[in-house]
Amino acid sequence: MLMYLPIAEMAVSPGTILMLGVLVGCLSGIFGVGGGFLATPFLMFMGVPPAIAVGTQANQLVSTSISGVLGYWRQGQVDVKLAGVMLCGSLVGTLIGTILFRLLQYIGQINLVIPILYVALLGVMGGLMLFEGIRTALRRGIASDSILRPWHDRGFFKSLPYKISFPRSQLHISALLPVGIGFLGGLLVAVMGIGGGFLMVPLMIYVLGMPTLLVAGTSLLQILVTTIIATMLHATANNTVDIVLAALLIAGGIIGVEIGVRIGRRLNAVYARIVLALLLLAVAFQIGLGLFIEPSELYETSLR
Amino acid sequence: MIRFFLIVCLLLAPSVVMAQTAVTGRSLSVNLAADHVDISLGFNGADLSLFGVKNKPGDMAIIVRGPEQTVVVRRKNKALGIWMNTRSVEFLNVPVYYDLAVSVPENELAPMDILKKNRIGLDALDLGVEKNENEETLDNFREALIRNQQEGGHFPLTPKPVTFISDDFFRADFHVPADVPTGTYLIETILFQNGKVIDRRETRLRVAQVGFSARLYRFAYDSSFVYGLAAVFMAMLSGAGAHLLFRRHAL
Repeated sequence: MLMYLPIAEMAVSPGTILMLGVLVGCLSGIFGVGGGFLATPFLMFMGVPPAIAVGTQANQLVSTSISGVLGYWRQGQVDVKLAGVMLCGSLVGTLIGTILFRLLQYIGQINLVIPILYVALLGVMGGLMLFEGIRTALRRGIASDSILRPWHDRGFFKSLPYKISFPRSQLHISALLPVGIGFLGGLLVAVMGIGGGFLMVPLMIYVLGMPTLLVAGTSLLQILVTTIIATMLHATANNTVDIVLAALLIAGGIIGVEIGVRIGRRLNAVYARIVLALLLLAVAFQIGLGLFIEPSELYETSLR
Repeated sequence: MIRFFLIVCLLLAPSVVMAQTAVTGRSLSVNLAADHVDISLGFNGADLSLFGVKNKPGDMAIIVRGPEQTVVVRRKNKALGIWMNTRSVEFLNVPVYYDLAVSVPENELAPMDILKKNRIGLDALDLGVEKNENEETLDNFREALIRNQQEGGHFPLTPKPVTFISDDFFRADFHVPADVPTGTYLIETILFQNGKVIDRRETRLRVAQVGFSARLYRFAYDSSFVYGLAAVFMAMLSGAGAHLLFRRHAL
């Protein structure tokens, strides 16, 4: 059975999309990541136009991040002021990212730049997480030692101007740091269709020096607002949000998260991180392969 | 599956057709019984059957042509060890869908210049190139474009047959794939005699989304801001709902 997507103007198998949603939800449940890094490339692989994959994925991330934010909110683990400052950056990032996406599409290099970004980002983050995970596993659970750790005390970060206090996180840091991290996050949402939690979380811990307890909730609140704005931008400027596709992904995701949470409870956190790292590397490898192997069809066509 | 027939009234007995011909000079009749393809959420592609009557001997060609669009064809080359798009050619008048049914092979229908004039066959399509590239490059890009369209089922691999039910009553079957582009399609039925066009009929086929799917599409384009809000609202509601439903006990 096939289902016609009114905006993508193509037919897909709803079962496959639901399963993808379940899988992505599972990842969120186990590892606390958005799973966009898996969903967006997979949608493109299925033949969904890249612009619609990214726009719809932003919409789906709204659903994932709000249920996460609510959970952390109840436990008081959200620094609203910090999230607000990060948002200033991510708004600009989203806007620039949306324009960048259009530009790349116009010059015909979107199918080159997106895979390269994925390979670079997933490869580096996966590599770092794997390295750190193995080190922690060997030392039996001392997670505080990190490769990014030394950054925290760098004088450079402390010398930046526009200092603001964040009472909830007990920080007095330059506003440029959270704005910069937010900017990166916004770019990722708009160009790659991923929430970027797995990049922002370590940056918030080690560059901002935030208490670990507040990081997840705060980054999720920031992702929530960013993805809402990205969805609005994609829907109004590009008409690339397919609500039917999003609904299928969300439905699968809700089921998947429940499965994932149950698996996650039985999983040792350190090993879970190693598995996630391997997953990131596998996706990076798979996408990277496409760049280096001679394609069977050298020509591609696109509508102008 | 949506099946619809473009039927020349079966009731039209040949004698009646003759009588009509006497008045109008028509030697060819094609009529559309269903002049639209409806795309709804369950759309799975459609089969198109066309019936017609001719009352003069000759060979037939039936062309189905979708609206034209500009298509960019890009070629990957190895640069810095990576396969990336390096050259591109723009084709200005590419029909989004093209199919063809013939009663005899194309080259027996008419000479090439007449085929070209009537856009019969993939070789005869004028895709409208603007760039001043050399012939060989253009041919390669053109072939690639046709190959890609064929793979997507939007161009035919081989022409379909025109089948004759009786001497003058014929039918042709086409299939449009599930991702068929929307728009107004032109169906041309041409009658050839000794390589010359002696009659032609033109019919239109409307391919459009209908029902819920069409409403969503119009909603997304006509009031995109509200559509965006609806998408966000839907996501927030389902996310929050899932949280309340499942997480309440956990926390």
